[in-house]
Amino acid sequence: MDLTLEQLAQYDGSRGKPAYVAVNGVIYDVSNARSWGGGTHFGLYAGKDLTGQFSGCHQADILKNLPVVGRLIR
Amino acid sequence: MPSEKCPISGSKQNIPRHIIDKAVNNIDQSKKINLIWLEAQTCSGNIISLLNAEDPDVIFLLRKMVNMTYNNSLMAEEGERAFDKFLETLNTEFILVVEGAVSTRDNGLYNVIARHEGKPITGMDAVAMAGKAAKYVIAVGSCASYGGPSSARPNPSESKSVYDFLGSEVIRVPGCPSNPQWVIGTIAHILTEGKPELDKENRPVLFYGVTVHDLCQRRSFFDRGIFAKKLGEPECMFKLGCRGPITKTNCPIRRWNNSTNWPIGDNTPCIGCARNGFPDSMEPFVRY
Amino acid sequence: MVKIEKIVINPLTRISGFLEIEVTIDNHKVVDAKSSGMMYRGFEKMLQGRPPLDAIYFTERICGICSTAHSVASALGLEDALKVVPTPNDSMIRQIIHGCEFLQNHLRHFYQYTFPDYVNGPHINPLYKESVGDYRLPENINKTLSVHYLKSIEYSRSAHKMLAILGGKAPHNHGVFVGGVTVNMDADKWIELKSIVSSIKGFIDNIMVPDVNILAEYYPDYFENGKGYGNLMSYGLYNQYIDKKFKYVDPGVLIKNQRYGFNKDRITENIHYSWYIGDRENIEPEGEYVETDVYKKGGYSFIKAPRYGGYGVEVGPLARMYLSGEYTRGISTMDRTIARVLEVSKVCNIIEHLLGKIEFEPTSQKAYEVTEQAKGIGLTDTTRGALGHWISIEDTKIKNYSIITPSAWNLSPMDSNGVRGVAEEALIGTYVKDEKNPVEIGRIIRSFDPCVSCATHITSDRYKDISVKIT
Repeated sequence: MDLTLEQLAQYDGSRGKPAYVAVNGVIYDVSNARSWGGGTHFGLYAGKDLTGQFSGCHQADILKNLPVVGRLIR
Repeated sequence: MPSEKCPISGSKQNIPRHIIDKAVNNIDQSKKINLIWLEAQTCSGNIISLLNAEDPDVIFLLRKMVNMTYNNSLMAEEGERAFDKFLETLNTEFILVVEGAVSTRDNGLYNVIARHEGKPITGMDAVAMAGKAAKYVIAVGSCASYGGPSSARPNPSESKSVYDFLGSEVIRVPGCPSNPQWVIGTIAHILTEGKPELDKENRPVLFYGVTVHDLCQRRSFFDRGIFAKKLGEPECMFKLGCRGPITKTNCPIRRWNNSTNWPIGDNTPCIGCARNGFPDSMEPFVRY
Repeated sequence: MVKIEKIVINPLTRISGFLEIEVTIDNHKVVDAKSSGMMYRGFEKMLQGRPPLDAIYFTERICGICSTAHSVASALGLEDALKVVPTPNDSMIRQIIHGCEFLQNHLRHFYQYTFPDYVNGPHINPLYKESVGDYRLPENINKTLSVHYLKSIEYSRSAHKMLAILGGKAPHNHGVFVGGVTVNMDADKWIELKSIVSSIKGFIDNIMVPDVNILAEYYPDYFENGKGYGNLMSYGLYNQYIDKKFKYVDPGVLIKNQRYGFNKDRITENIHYSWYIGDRENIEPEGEYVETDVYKKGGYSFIKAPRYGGYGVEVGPLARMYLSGEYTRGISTMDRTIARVLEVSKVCNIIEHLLGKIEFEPTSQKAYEVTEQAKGIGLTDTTRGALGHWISIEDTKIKNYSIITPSAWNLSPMDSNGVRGVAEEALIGTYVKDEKNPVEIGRIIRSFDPCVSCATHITSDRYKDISVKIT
């Protein structure tokens, strides 16, 4: 399922909705990722493109176990 | 080592009570080590939490385990006579417990703990003086361990953790407040076998070895994807923001107030109060 | 030759937080006094921008011994802002939780904080003085009371155990929340609570009350000092009830021996002698943050100077017992101490009655909606006196948060009108027998049950300036 930024914003993990985040153009499902309780992660909220924050903190291989939802499109 | 008095104590090697008994048996009462419990930039919740200790209680700690020479909340002396006790202890062998963060703004004047010969003594001064003289430095509570609420953004008092201030070895016993069993258990270990095994954040593995998530009674709900939608419900609170998966303490097992209860048992999520990043990175605590 | 001397006591131990007291003594009498709050973290600044629902657990961290007080005031403020009304059952359970904090605090304040001034023992470091004190109890009574000090630890701990049954843990409970409480009440918890409160009640009524009477008997001069202005205030406590078994005190003030109803708009905060930038007089509680300045000329405390209609008013157990009519013998160091003990007995009774009234029902928690804009105020009397949380929400985040604590009322510095803080005024005129060992000072100050971690806050400066001429 490809999503625009605006559509991605819906999936912020609140009120029972899935929690999706985009990194480098790929949308990942963090709904059950242990460090994403309540759809939030160290001050960040799901439903956003977090490419910048990600590269400042993690190596890319940490994403390999996350379910992929689709691509971030314009 | 099993005690000759108790045949099953050998199987209880790993729980603090065994270590405490050993501590008591091994300590010559007249040679109890001195201990300064220094309150710095703190809410004083850790000394209050210590008063809640049971088996052993705070009186056992003070009578049988250590000679506490200084503490702002409990000591009978006041003023210069009180601070003199602090200074006298620096020339002896002692354990330094610090609760609260170290405030550095304006030379530490956002946390003045005494006045000595007309000059203010800041928490910063006191931690520096005692930190370099102490045999062990134990940071009790999340403020001393990591900065905690006292250092919360934007950190108006420019506070930091004891380790970030001292730079020398500090044993961390975090928690908001710290559970008195973790504090007394750590001291008991030091008295008998020296420094306990520490993880890479210098926390005793005995208390901080496993995540709350991995010991949680509601784990089966998480595993089957059954989640609470609001507080007060019996299911897993991961979707409400529970920080159990990223917080290491034995809260699910030892719990609080002599094992009476704990946040999850009260139908509220873990807010990661014992970890690095509390409170700023653990927010929002509750999100629907 | 008249001797004038300045005495500084820092640390003033056996309180919560860091306080410095300076007194000027002229021929054995205190002629000037300064109360200085010596710590500052800036909670109101920290709260800006945070999720509103987080305020409850966050503000608890202001103080370890009265953490529950903040959770209750914060929950009330948020309920006011979000238009949430707890069910009667949840409200009563929350009042029990609040009551448990009273039990814990008053037991610890009386035995751990107050006793060492009057009782020489127990002989365990650092709980007793090696130096010479003014100890007047005969040896056998001193010994008995030292044992009571030790026994009290079990009971104050049990009070926190009760709190944990309902609130998850103590200090810093989780059970108080918007909408009431998170605990699902059942017979198992209920009977455990009943059992514990019954044993605490036995200790209070049979040991603690007689103990304070012993102190009063051997230290009667403490009825003659520590009065202060004699003005009192309460925001009300357990006042929703009409039934005498539950009701404690209505909001009200006593100013210069006259009773008035309480009006929150008469509350102002002054920063003239406090370490904050500016000299705005009569700052009102709502509004924006004021920056600190520890080098401010003339400033001597991080505590601000709240005033009621310009008056310094005392808050706390004596104010409540007096305003409710339960204890009106007088206003002094010893009266304050007695009132605290009588109050804890009363709160114990209220808890028992509330336990008799609550139902075994699940909590009525909801998934609360935080509105874009909202404002709320949570006012409640608590362990040390009147506590207020003022919250404003904008863009679903906390815009401003102001807190005025009981210890700010009691331990404030002087204001720009030259009106001393309540505790400062209470020290004036005190006869100090021995300047080398001024035991009177600490005894008077401790009777207010200071909590400096609570007292040091900021307030706001958005609304009107009211300038007051000092003539």
